[in-house]
Amino acid sequence: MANASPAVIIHPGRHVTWYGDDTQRLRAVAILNALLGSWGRRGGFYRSERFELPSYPHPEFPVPKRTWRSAFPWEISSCRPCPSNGIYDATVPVATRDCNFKGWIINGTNLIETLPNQKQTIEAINNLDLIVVIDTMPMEITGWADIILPECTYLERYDAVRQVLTANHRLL
Amino acid sequence: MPAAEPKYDTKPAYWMARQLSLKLGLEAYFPHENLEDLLDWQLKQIGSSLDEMQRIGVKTFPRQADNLYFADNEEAEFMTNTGKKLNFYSTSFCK
Repeated sequence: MANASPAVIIHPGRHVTWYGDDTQRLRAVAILNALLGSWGRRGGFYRSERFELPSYPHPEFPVPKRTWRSAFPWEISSCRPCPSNGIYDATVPVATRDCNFKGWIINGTNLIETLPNQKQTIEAINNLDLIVVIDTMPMEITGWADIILPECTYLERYDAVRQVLTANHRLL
Repeated sequence: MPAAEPKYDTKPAYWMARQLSLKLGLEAYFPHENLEDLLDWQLKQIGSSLDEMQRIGVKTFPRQADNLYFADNEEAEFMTNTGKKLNFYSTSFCK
């Protein structure tokens, strides 16, 4: 591989082949690609270019009084979305934490299977006042819902336009 | 675009969100009655339309810049917090 560099790619694999504990594996893949000089080189990874559809103008979003970040006494600056175990932490009330969620609105995510510690997930659910689940079909999580909002499938609705970055841009 | 009519009492997520917004007095955030109208507006901003996309399905645009690869002596910049250089370990995880 070193002989062929920089025309080398170590491919991170398709999402379906990941199993959710691959942080260090993907770090290793990125580091190897960097060491092999694959970024932005012919035969390696080509450079992506941003292309976005304009958003429709809307009033400023109201600022929430509390967010999941209140659940943590320290700053998690590198974690933009709430880390998955953080949903549990932010839900189960404890004396040392100034936050506990009362309701979850779950959109097409089977949290019983997707969050790492099922026992903790069920404990968190048992501390909620309300669960709303939006899904196209019954899942483990729909069994825990107070309210189910049944969504039509992707063959029966429009979705946001998908942009694919290739050597040219494709809009689907 | 949809291949079939929705079955039973199922609805698109946009419809659910918009109906909730009407109940909550947040309709200013959902000026379009359905997602199709919003998509049509977005596509018209870039010289296409929902009507065109319904006909052609996929539209290809050329890249703005002719820079698929870094030039030989180009100072490559990356979106990292170490002065746009490649990161071999995460400085933000260290904090």
